Amino acid sequence: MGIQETLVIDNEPLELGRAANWLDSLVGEAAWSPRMLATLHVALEEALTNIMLHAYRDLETHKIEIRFSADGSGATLELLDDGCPFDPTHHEPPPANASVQDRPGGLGLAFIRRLMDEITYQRMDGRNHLTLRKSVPP
Amino acid sequence: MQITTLREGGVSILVLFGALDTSSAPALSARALELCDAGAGNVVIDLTQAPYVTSAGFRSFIEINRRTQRAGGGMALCGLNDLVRDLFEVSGFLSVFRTYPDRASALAAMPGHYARTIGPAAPKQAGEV
Repeated sequence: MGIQETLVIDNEPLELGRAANWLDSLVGEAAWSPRMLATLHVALEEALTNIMLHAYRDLETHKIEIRFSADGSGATLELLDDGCPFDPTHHEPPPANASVQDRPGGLGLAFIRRLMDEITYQRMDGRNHLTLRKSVPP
Repeated sequence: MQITTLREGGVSILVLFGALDTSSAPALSARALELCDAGAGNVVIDLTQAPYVTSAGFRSFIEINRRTQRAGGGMALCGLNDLVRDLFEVSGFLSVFRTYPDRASALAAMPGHYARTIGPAAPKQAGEV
């Protein structure tokens, strides 16, 4: 079982639903657990939301490229955007004593870190390239 | 995501069917706000049929918690699956929000809840067992 698909969306929150539907259409054949599917959905939405919120300093429409690949050992989500350099792997999480009201800003990153097995970032050809990997148990 | 609203013993139960994410969180917040405005500020949010909750959903919970308390009521959550519970934990909200394994225990814990009483059985007709 090998899947490799790409979707390009605009940096617009309404596109999150389209990305989620696209992910659903891809994982149908994978026979993964509901938890695996849900994990990928959360990671995808949180990573896309972070890009939409933090990567751009203008009000223009930008394209975000999402690459999904999967095989028997797990799934990989790659997100590519042409925004400002933004390395979530070096983003400080909110301090532990931050009030409840403050925490929502860093929640997405905390969720990605909790759920995904590998998170890597590169800046290449003027684009942020974020790779999220989740393995399935053998 | 669909939301079914039930009313039981002075408490409103919002049953979610589907994921609570950026697309669906506004509908949940709006429904809870309607209830608060209508004086029904004791709310249980049933996540049994919600496969996942993103940070957008947690922002809804914060808002609903605040509004229900302002309305003199409160919010509880039930039916968290393992993944959702993990996210409550990593976000720190497990110790802040009231969560219960099921609807019955959530209802029992709501201050506005009263148990339904079962009245005397109707007199039997001749021939009934």
